[in-house]
Amino acid sequence: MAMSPAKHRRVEDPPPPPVPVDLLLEIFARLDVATIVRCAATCKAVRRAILDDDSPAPLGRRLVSNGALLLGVSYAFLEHKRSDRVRSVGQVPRRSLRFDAGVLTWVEPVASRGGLIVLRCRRNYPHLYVRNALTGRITSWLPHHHVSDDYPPALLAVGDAGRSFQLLVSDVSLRTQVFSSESGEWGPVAQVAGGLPPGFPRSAPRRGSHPVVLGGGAAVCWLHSRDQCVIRLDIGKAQATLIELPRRVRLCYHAYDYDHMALQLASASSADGELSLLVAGVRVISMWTLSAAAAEEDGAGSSSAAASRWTRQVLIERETIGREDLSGGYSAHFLGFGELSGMAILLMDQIGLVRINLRTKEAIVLGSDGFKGVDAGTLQLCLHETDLPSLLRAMRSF
Amino acid sequence: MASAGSGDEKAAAAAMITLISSDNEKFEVTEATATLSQTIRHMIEDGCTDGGVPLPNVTSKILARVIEYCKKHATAAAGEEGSSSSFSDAAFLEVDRAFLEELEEFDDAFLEVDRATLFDLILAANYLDIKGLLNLTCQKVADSVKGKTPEQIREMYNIVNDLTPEEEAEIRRETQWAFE
Repeated sequence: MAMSPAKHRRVEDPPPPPVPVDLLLEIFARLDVATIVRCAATCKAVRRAILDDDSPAPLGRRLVSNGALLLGVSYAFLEHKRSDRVRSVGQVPRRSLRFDAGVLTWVEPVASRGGLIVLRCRRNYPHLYVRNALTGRITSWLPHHHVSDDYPPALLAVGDAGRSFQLLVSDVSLRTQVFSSESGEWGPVAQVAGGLPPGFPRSAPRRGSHPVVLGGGAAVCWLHSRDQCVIRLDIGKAQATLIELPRRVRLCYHAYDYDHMALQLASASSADGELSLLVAGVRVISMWTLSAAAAEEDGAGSSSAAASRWTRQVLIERETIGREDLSGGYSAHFLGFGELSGMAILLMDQIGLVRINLRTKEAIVLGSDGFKGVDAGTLQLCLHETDLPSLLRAMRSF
Repeated sequence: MASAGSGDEKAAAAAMITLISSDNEKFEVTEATATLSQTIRHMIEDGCTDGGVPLPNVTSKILARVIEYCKKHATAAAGEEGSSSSFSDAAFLEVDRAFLEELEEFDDAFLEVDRATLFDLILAANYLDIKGLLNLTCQKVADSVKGKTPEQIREMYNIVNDLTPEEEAEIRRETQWAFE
């Protein structure tokens, strides 16, 4: 009788010793989000270790600094610019995201933030709906809005691990409407108080020029690359401002071919409401940051004062990313920025699709086959980010 | 060959450190090998290594494995430094790659241990503060867990399920996507 339990135990593999919680977290920090959630379902102690927000190095925050919050990128190649027909779809890195990239055949990604992706039907144009970037599930279908969505829409606030959100649409004269997931309805049409500022662009920012949301949803900034300015909308004050790009960037714009200056808005630290501009120049990729104080001042007074408040920081030299023949076409285009992960996606003509971590200043080539020498105008993509800290907060501890 | 060997030993003898495992076994290692551990590096800097370094948390079996890892990685680091001046860029890259491939092979073979040993190595790497080894071993455990169900993870790591069926049902409801 005494022998029978021993029969079941595998002698060559004795049970591992108990591991202190901080080492468990060291291991969990190397896992994908779904496995972390499944580990949290093994027993109470492990669940508490994963969900504990008060530990010296909480898992959520650790994964943030690892840059693991960008799960991947889904993309679609259009048959040609401005076409609504899709040639092919795909995902990088090629691991099993729960989001099926196949849906991009029928729908266009128009916004992504805080772990949500907003999609619009390619044919039945006004239909907007929202999917969770992590689970791939549809979270809501939006009713029709009255204002035409000329500008790329903005997810103003995403809360409770993607369960609540607000989406702003704007037409070319900044008439806006905000959808709230709580009411399930679009709010009233709002207009800019005191009219549009002089020199306001008559056209909308181009498709795929995703806005940056500052101050927890208080302001939205769009980059208007043709008119070389940033359009800032303060929602509470219903005020619109034009922000000049840094002088040096504007000069380069004139000196080089349009294609050789890739620009992308980013938020260096969303808590401070600082606006950043990523610039892929001929040799370096740099980040210009507008101090929050300057932006405030700008709202009240002249815009030239703010232009001098941009400060520049070199992120990375292009030659460290890969070899480029500087005599050929070496253009680059930014295709998106993820606020949670602090990652920007850059399409480089001779290298491929590149992911740049703004925090660590590291660049990784996500894909080269099929991305070299393609027309950036035919490539649409969305970032799959996950708000792990708030996902963990939403899970119940036992 | 013989004279070259004794010369190396003489040079190294100046900087030998004695490590003492929890079961009182003594291990003689070079300073270069020992200082892969930040904990021991600090002890050396503070001059606390005379008469040997007692490591009460590490058994001789595990310490032997840890030293094996440190020796390999210390040589690799020294080799890289030494070669940088005498090779052209291309040759250096080639040597670099050969080193890295060899190290990777070593690491893969090093990780061929049972789970109990793997966890003992994690504990030792953490205590001795050897970043490379901690990273290697934690990644191995993480890789072994990826894609597994909670039940499989419990079985692998001897975890007793103390969640009630109701709690388990609630967890699945809350994050069902992760269980599909």
